[in-house]
Amino acid sequence: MYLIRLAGRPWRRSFWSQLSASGAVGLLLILAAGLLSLQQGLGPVVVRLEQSQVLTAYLDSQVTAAEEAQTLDRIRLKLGSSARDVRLVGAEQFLTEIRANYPELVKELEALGDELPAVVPRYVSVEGVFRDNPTQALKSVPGIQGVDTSRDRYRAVIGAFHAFRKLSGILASGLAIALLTGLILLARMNHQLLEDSLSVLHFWGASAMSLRVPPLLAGFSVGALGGAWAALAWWAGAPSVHAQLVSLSPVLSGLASPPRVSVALILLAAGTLSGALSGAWGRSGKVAA
Amino acid sequence: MVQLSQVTQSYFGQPRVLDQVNLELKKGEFVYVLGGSGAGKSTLLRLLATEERPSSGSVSLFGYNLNTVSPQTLRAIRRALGYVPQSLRLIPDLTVAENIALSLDLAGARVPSSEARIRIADAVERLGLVALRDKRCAQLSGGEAQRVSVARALVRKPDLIIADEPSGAQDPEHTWAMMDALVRANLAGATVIVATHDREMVRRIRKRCAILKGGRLQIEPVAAGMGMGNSPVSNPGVNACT
Repeated sequence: MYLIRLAGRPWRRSFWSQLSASGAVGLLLILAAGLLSLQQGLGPVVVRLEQSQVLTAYLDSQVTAAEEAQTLDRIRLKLGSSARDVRLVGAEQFLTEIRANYPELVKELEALGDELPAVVPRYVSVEGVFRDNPTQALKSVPGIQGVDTSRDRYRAVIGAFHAFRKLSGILASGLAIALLTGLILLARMNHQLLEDSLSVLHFWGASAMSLRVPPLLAGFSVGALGGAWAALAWWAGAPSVHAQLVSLSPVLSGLASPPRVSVALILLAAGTLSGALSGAWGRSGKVAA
Repeated sequence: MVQLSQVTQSYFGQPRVLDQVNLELKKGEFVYVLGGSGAGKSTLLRLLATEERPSSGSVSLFGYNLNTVSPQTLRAIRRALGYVPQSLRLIPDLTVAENIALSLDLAGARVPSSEARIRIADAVERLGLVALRDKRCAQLSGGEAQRVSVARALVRKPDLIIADEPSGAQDPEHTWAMMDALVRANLAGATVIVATHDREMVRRIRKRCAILKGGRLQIEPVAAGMGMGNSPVSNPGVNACT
């Protein structure tokens, strides 16, 4: 019982230091959790961006208008469910699509009259998420002359996300180190506050294990409180933060939603454990007799 | 029980506080350690209480040379000690009763809780601490804290009691109560070493005196006077001195 009473001494003597330390623990934990969560959540986004392609399959001029629908079906069959959007773009539609940006060019092409189909190719535009290289598959479809792909159109975004994911890991590690360093320094301060009594206990025959109990409990209380702050903040705020992030850009629409309860429990456990460990091992030195 | 052999103690190149001190005490002896301020009384008692190690020479307690004992043996020796340090070293967060009980808890041998309660109550009563029993030690006066420190040392019924100026802040009534408690412990078989300035106490409770002067120890025969002269422990032998 007296060991527990002793453990409360840092709170009695430096209440605001303990409280602000627990707040700092909570803040560092939630920042680290946020970064790690983003790192994990961006994984599916990056995969989707890496695999998302727009394929342009040019139709052979020999393909008649009647065969166009058949060719489209063959393409759909070949690519399966990976192809989200498959559409045929004829000469007329092509001109419509580029009219706004290139009006002069459209006028010149329209002036070609019946020769227009020979100059402006027909093509099938396929948008989808493809794990493998689909160009070879498309080339094997009868009536397809050639295939282009937009495979690397998100390269810059993907690179940025990769960099951010790596940076998140580094920052989270830094936050964890800062957390432990701060807790160990706090434990040392607490140990100074307890040192006179610990030396009395040591002299009167207390075991090494008993001597660890008060600083361990003092660290535990700060860490647990910090973990509780972080858990509460996560539980209350994570869903809305996720929703705001997703609304920032369609690119982030696949951002994985972080688990609410399990992460909150992990934060509580991490705070408690780091507090207890730093309390137990953050002694300023051997207890003097 | 206690043996000091050629013990010298000095700090950071300062003159020797203790110089070639020899002393041997048998079980059941009661000795005053006298001397002026800075004579080395507290240093001698800290050495005996295992708080310090000598610069040279050896200190043996219960047959163990403290220079060579293992930490486990040192812990066992300390559990057989009742020490009243000059600085008292109470735990201010705990109550008087808890500070006393703590000594018993840490004594090693399991004391049944019923006996522990009796011992604590007895120590509290003997030293006039009944009214202060549930008061935190941070709230005590110097004299009250001294009595708690003595009670804490006596409650575990140690084989060796070392008290450094235990009556320095006491009124005569409490000084007498405290000395009575120490003499009773001595009668029960404990060896008692008391450092004091209080010549009146030495005169009234006649015991052997070890006098420190200039770092050297000299032994005087039983102090002449009145008081507890008929006590069975009034004339123990101090077997070695410089």
